[in-house]
Order: sequence, then structure tokens, then C-alpha cells
Amino acid sequence: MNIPLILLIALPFIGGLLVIFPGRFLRVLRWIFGLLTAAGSGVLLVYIFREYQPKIESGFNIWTTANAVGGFQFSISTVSLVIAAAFTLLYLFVLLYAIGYYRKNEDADTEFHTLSLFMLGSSLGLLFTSDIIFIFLFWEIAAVAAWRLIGFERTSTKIAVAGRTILINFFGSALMLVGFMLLVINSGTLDGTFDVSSITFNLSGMGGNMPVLAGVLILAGVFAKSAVIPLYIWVPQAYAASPIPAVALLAGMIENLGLIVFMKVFGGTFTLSGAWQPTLLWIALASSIVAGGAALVVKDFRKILGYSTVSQLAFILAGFALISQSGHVAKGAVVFIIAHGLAKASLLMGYGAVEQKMETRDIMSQGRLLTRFPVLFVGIIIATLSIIGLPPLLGFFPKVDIIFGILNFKPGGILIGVGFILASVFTLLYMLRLISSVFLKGPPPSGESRIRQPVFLSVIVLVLSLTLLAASLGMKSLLNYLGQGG
Amino acid sequence: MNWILQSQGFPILVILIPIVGALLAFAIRPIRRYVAILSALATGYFALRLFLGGPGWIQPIPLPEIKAFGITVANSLQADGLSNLILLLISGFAVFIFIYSFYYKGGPRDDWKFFTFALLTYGAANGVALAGSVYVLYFFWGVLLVTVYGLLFYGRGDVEGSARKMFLLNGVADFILLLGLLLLVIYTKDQGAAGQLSYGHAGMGGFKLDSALPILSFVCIGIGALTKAGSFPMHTWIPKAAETAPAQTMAYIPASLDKLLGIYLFVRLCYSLFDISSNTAVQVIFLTIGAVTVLAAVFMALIQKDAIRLLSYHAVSQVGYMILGIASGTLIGIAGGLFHMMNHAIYKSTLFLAGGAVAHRSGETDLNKLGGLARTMPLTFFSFLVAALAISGIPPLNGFFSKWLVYQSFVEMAKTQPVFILFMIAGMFGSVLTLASFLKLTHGIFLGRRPESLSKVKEVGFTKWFPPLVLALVCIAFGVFAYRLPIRYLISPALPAWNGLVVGWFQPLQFVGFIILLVSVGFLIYLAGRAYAPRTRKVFIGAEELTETEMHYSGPHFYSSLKDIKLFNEFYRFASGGSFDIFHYIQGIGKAAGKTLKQLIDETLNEVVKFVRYIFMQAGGGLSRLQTGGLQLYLGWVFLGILILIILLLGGGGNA
Repeated sequence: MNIPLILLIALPFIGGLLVIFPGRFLRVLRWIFGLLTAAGSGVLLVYIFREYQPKIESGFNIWTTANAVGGFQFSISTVSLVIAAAFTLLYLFVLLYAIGYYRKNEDADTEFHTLSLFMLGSSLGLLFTSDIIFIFLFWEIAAVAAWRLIGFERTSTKIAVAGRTILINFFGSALMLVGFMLLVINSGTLDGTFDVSSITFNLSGMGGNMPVLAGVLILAGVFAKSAVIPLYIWVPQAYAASPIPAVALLAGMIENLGLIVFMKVFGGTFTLSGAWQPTLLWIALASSIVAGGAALVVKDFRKILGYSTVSQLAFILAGFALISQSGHVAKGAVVFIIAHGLAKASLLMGYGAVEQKMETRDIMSQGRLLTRFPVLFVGIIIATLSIIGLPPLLGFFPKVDIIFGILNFKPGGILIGVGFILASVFTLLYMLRLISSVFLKGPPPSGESRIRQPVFLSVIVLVLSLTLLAASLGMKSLLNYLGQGG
Repeated sequence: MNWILQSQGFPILVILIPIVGALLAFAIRPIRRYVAILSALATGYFALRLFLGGPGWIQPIPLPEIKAFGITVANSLQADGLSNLILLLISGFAVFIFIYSFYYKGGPRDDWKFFTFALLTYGAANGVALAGSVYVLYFFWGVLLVTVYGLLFYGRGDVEGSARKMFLLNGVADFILLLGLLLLVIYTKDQGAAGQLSYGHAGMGGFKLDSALPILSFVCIGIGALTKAGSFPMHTWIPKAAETAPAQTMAYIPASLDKLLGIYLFVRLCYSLFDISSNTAVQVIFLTIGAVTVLAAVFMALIQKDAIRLLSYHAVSQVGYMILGIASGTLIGIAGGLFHMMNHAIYKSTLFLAGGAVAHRSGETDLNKLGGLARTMPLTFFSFLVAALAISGIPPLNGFFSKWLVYQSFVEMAKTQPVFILFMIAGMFGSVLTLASFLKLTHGIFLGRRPESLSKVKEVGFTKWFPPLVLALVCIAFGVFAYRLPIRYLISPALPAWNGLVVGWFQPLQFVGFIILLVSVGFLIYLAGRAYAPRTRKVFIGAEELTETEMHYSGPHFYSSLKDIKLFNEFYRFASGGSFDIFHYIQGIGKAAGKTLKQLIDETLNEVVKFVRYIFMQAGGGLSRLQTGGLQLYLGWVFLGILILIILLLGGGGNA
């Protein structure tokens, strides 16, 4: 048994439950439990990082089947460790932000803290497991937590949006479950008989070519969760309806889970042959361009950021879709998850702070807010440049890596690569439009000089953005570390 | 740490010193000006050491490498002749610009932006010049985009508009460049070291443009390079920036740095990477871009009324000559293009700085409101005049000499393909128009009648007249001693394959003698003319004596008549409506595509979701009607269920 790993996954759930009961009576306790959980996870991660030797399998089983093949149900890899660290960091920033964001709203945050901890726990669990049952379990915990958080404010429209979200996600995950079962049947009945004791639920015990039907069904779940065309359709509205800290978690953490499952199933386990890879690349391209185009015309900045997430996650999907061909860890895609998650959370929290102060989120009705929110602006522009993919920020490296991989792909890679360059240009256009119209354009705001920069929130956004800069300095060692796992 | 002060550390130092300087200038605002000058001097020292040390330095640097699909792109910095030349020039200009910006009284208060971002830009530019592989090049190229974006926020008026325009045009071009560079890596993966920037280095041994991949790569990199250099049609941010940015920014970015880097990359592209003359179609396209750039921009310059804006159009038009020279693919043309790049940076900075000095003193850049400043600002006038003559290609100044080299390449090419002489004619025509527009500019600012409002204008202080004056003297020196100084010591080391031979009759020194002779004859005639003083008469219109102001007809007016010519009229109307502005096209196309995609796909998907929801609601509604809550109905269901079960059990029993 790998105690630190068990603790790491269990800790957020324990923290979440602790928040519910004592936190009801004393507000500070919710914050303390949240912070303690984040700190504990951090310590555990550091400990695991120091102990863990790449290439030596390390993990634990909850139960074992009679003739289990493959590795542990829960195991560590360099990739999962790195992403887990990023998720924990993100959670910490969102927690701090939420403390500031809900300062005036006494009762709003019990549920938020519980659910966000459950989100963290399910994300970490999903990262470290390769067992289909546990994947599905954590997947659904995350979906339910997201559902509750999106409808957090309980107005009828918001509940409707939350309902729509959970329906689309549930539609995807139901199909995915069928797909998983097909995989299990496929691998369990190689000799034609169906014997319960020979069933393996562990992905790492499977392999071979991806069965078409199972693959398509699993993709439905992945596409719904990670907002790939055509199932991304819940994202813009969910972004518009949810409280900002929840959206930050959604963008930075939950929406990545689909891609992580994709990596585990499609990249890590089965080989993709025939039409799989070009199809996936084209779908990713379509997703990126459609969402990028939509982001260029909508006026609600939350929706812009929502479409932006869709268009960026497509890059990650493309990155993972290339795994099998190269036989390497899709380092670019992994780093992109981190780069995009941190930057997008930073943007959402930054614009969320603006929204809270200015009480509007129409980008056209604002202007020259730079004078009012200078610190916030610095944080936001760093994140913006990172998402566009400009050096020396973290977003630059993975974007180049993924586009390079696509261009190398045969057949048709050059065409798809040109398409992704176009998608990057879209990113540039809508990000520039967003930041220009909110912060830079137009006359300086007059009148309400009561509006002051929210210092605490601004500093959080700034520090989160600066991690993008800092991380890119350690890029080389990060890539080397990721490479050791492959 | 000792190695860093050895020669192999110099490339790192020339990148790091300006960046550290920028951080210092940002953190400790009161010393920002000193920091800037000191960093430029220190960097310049190391750049000079590198230059004197000669080529031959290649070292991997700690950036993550592209390593995928069996291709590894090592990250290296290199200091060959071409890089060294660019490095030296960048530092040289930086020193002058920072001296010039030392006192900027009355300017916007936030000049820390200028110093911080200019220093960052400076460091990144050095990085571009030293890049040995595509990844490093693109890294610094991208940083440059960000820092110039920041730099353009320093100024007056709609700074955001200028900065956004620059960012958008250059950002789009950067992604195209990225595409080109990555394709280059793919194309060169079988060459041992993929993605290096110096393949045909020993001579004109670049790759042939004989299939789709290299051509696509070439065109994409070319677009990136020429956009940076400010060529038509991606130039429109430069005149826009001229409206808001101060003279030193204009002198530093569009006039010197962007030209140096863009043309540097273009030379690398045509000289070290590919052989442009191997594909005539591509070559003609790029030559045409060059010719159109020369002519279109100079036509726009002719009708400008604002001094800085007029200069900014010339910053575009001159790029055309460099493109013409380099895209000719001949060594002499490339040498001419490089030389012209250097010369242009020298005289254009001079012009911007001198023009900026005038604006600084008079607070005015409108040519109709300026005039007659030659007497009160003699040093500035001298620098301006020399640079104006140089840009117009008047011998024996440096601008003439580099254009001469470019023309020679066409003479050479015309031997096999007479058509190419057309490009030379376009260039010469552009030269004439340049001269015309500078006559107007010089007249408008320095000659003619001085308006009342400018009666108190004095010469600017040392930091403002010194840099342009030195640069103007360099213009003369580089023209008169073209073979002895710049060609021998600067251009030849950058182009080792070129033997430095120039065909033709032109000898600068003899020509100077000739000019001096002509000028003395002219002076004699002038003296002779003075002996017979003309009679002066009063001028009347309708028995009213005209005052001097009423008789004044400003120089720029003369040129507005150009607009009235039918053919040009259309052109100018088209151009001033923004129809040449690719910025609007990109924005417009983006918006239109976005709208279409949203309507077509996003909305449709939304409708599908609504429809599915509707179906489920209807189905649910139907089912709920079966559950009214009445006991009889439920009992009925129970009986029905039992009935079905019995039927199933009885019917299936035989098989079980």
C-alpha cells in the first residue's frame, strides 16, 4: 500500500466533509479546512515527488481480481504527478480568491468549499487511477459537483443551465460507460467464455487496437466533459451562469478530466490505427476554429472565455491524439493542460473581479479600466499573452510543440497544421479584442470614483499569472522530468 | 562564472545586459536614463568584441528543444558575420537613441515605459540576431512582439489604437512565420541538424525551391520577415504609430530595429537557407512586393502634411529597395540590400530624430505651420538635409551607393532576362519621387517663411542635436568612403561569399571631387548674380498691398495638386479610405468568419439541444399523464404488469 498516495486522494474528500459540519457554525473554519487541505496535498505531493522513482511502478490496489493483469489500480506517473501539482496549486489560488470574492456573502460559501474540494479530490483520483470503475466513479463525482456549482445561485435560469450541463454530461458519460463495458468484455473474453474472475477493469492490462464502437462511445463522454464539438454546447452558458470561482475550477480542472481519460485510454493503452488519428485531428481543428470564431463575436466576456476554453482544449486533444504515432509522452499536451488551466483560471478570476466591481460583463460597455485596475491588468495581460502562445510565457512551448507534431503528421498534417495556425490567429484576435475593449480602448471611465481596485483579488490573479512566467523558466527541467516517465 | 567574461559568454551577455537594465530601469525609476545609456554602452562593447572576434561561435543554450518524431532541433546561438554585423548596428543605434531620449522635457510623464520596453526590445533583438536555430529565433521574435506592444503605449493620443494595430498585424505575421519555420524543420530533418539557420553558409548553397514544402516554408518565413521589416501590405501600423509615438520610438523601432531584424531574416532566408533564384515565380512575386512597396509608399508620402507621418511612409518605401536587392538573389544585390538596410537605418533615424527635435522645440509637426527654421536650428537642419539627400539617393551619400549596388544586380540579371530591368526602373522612379517628397519636407520645415508662432524657437540641446549630427556625418562617410569603410569592414564579413567586386564606373572619391567642382562653379555664379541686385517691386491685388503672410504659399500646397490628377486621385481616395489597410481586412474577415461559424454551427447545435430537450419533455409529459395519482389507474397498471409477467413466464417457460 502506498500510504501517501491514498492520503493524497482521500484528503480533499475528508476536507470537504469537514467543511460541511463545523464550517456551518464558524465561517473561518471553512477557510482553514480548505487551506489545510491544500497545504496537506502540497506536502504529500512534495513527499511523493521525492520518493517516487520514474520507471519503477508504485501504487496500490483496492481489491484484486483472481488473475489480474496489468499494474496497480492506482499508480503514480510523472505526468499525473505534474498535473496533480498544477491542480492543487490552482485549487489553492481559487480558494484564496473565493475567500475574497465571497467576503460580503456570509452563507454563500459552505457549499462552494465542500464542492470545490470534492472537485479537487475527484480530479486527483482520476489522475492516479487506471481502473475503469474508479475512473467512472471520480468522473461522476466531478460531474455532480460541477452541476451543483453551476446552479449555485439557484435562480430558475441558472438551474436550467445547470440542468442542461448535467444532461449533456450525463448523456456523454452514459455512453462512455457502455464503451468501457465493451472494452472490458473485449479483454475479458479473449477465449470466448465469460468468466467474472477473468474480467480486468484495469486499463493497463488491456491493449491492442482500439475497437471502433467502444472508442466512439468513450469519445462521447470525453467530448462532453472536455467541450469538444459538437458536445461543447453547454460551456458558454455554464460559464455565464456559474459563480466565478466555480468557473475557474471548471476551466482549469474539470474540463481537463475528459482529456486525461482520453490520454489514459487512447494514448496510454490502445493503439490508434487507420482513420482514428486524422479524424480526431480534424474534429479538434473544427472545434478550435468554430469556438474561436464564436469567441470573436460574442460580447459577454465570460462567454468569450468559455468559447476560448473550447478552442484551446482542442489543441490539447490534438496533442494527445498524436501520442500513439510518436511513442512519446505527449509532453506538449500535458504542459498545455497546465498552461491553459492556470492562465484561463487567472483570466476568469481577473475578469470576474472586474465584473464584481463594474457590475456588468458586456465588453462593449467598458473601457480604459487600466487606470482603475492596474495590478489586475498586469495579471490579466500576462495570462492573455500566455494563452495566445507568445514567448516567454508557458503557453508558448506546448503550442509550438503541438503544431509541430501536427505538421509532422501524415497524411494531411500540413493542411491540419495550417488550420491550427489559423486557430491560433483566431485566439490572438479574440484575446486582443477582449483585453482592448475592457482595459485599453475608449475614454477613461468618469464618474464613479468609488470603484477601487480589489487589492486582494488582484494580487491573487497577478501571482497566479506570474507562475506562468516562472514555470516557463523551469521548462527544460519540466520537460525532462515528463520525458522520464515515457 | 569566469567563462561568461570569456568570448563564449558574450552572446549571453549582449542578450542579458539590456534585459537586466530594463528590470533596473523599471524598478528604480530615477536612474532609468543612466541605466539605459550604460546598458547600451556595455552591450555595445561586447557586441563590438564579438564583431572583432569574427565568426565561429555556436553554443547550445538552456531552452527546451523541439524533440519529437525523431527530430531534434538543438537550440543554439551563433555569431557569424551576418549576426555580428546586425548586433553591432543594433547596439550602435541604441546608444544614439538613448542619448537622444535623455532629456525629454514636456513629453509624457511616463517615460519609464519607453526605457523599460526599449531595453527589453533591445535584448530580444540581440537574441534574434544571435539565434542559430529556428526555435531560438522564434522565441525572441515573439518576445519582441510583446515588448514593442508595450513600447507603443508610450506617447500621446490613441496609443492603444497604434499598439493594437501593430500587435495584430505582427502577431498574425508571427504565426505565419511560425508555420514557415516549423515546415523548415520538417524539410531539413534529413540534413543532420534540423532547423538550423545557416545551411548554405559558405556560399549560395541554399536549398532549391523545387517542391511544395520548401516553397510554402519560404513564402511563410518571407511574410514574417517582410512584415517585420514593414513592407507593403503589412506596413499600415507604421504610419498609425507615427501619429502617437514620439520621435525616438519611431527612430528606434520601425526605422532601425525592425528593418535590421526583418531584413536580417530575409537575407538568411534568401542566402543561407534557400536559393531564391532557383524559382523564378517566387522570385518575381517577392521582387514585385519590393517594387510595389517602393512606389505605393512613396506616393502616400508625397501627399502627407505631417512631418513624422511623411517620414514613416518613407520608412516603408525604403524597405522596397532592400527587398529588391535581396530577392534578386545575386550576391551583389544581397550586399546592396544589406548595405541599404544599414544606410536606411542611419539616415532614417537621423530624419526622425531631427524631425523630433523640431517637434520638440516648436510643438508642431504640421508642415503648413512650420517653416524657416534653418537659421535658428542650423545643426538640426544640416543633419536633416544630409539625411534627406541620402535617402533620395543623391551621390556621393550612402543612400546612393547602396541603391547603386541594388541596381547593378538588375543590370546583371537583365543580361539573361531583360524583363528584370523593369524592377530597376521602378526603383529609380521611386528615387525621384523620394527626392520630390524630401524637397517638400525640407522646404516645409526649414526653408521658406517662418510663421509668427515659431519666432521663439531655438536650437535644441546637446542630447538632441548630437545624435542626428553624428549619424549624418556617418551618412557622408559611408558614402564617400563606401569601399574603404562599410563595404570592406561591415558588409564583406557578413557575406563571405561575396568578393566585394562592384562592376561599373562609379568611384565615390572622384565623384566627390566632381561635386565639389560643380558646387564651386555654382557658388561663383551665385556671387556673380549678387553683383547685379534685382529691383524690388511692391505687389498689389485690387489696389491692396499684400502682406507677407498673404503672399505666402506653403510648399506642401504644391504637392496637394498631385491629388487632383485623375489617375492618382483614385489611388489616393482608395488609400485614404483605408482600403490598402490589411489590418481592416484581417479584423473584418475574422469577424465575418466568426459570425458565420457562430450562426451556422453554434446556433444550430443549440437548437438541436433545445429540440432534444423538447422531445424528452413531450415524452415525459406523455408518461406523466399515465400517472395521475388515482388509485384505479395504478391498480390497472399493476394488473397489466402482472398480466405481462404471466404471459412472459408461460410463453418463455419452455425454453428456460
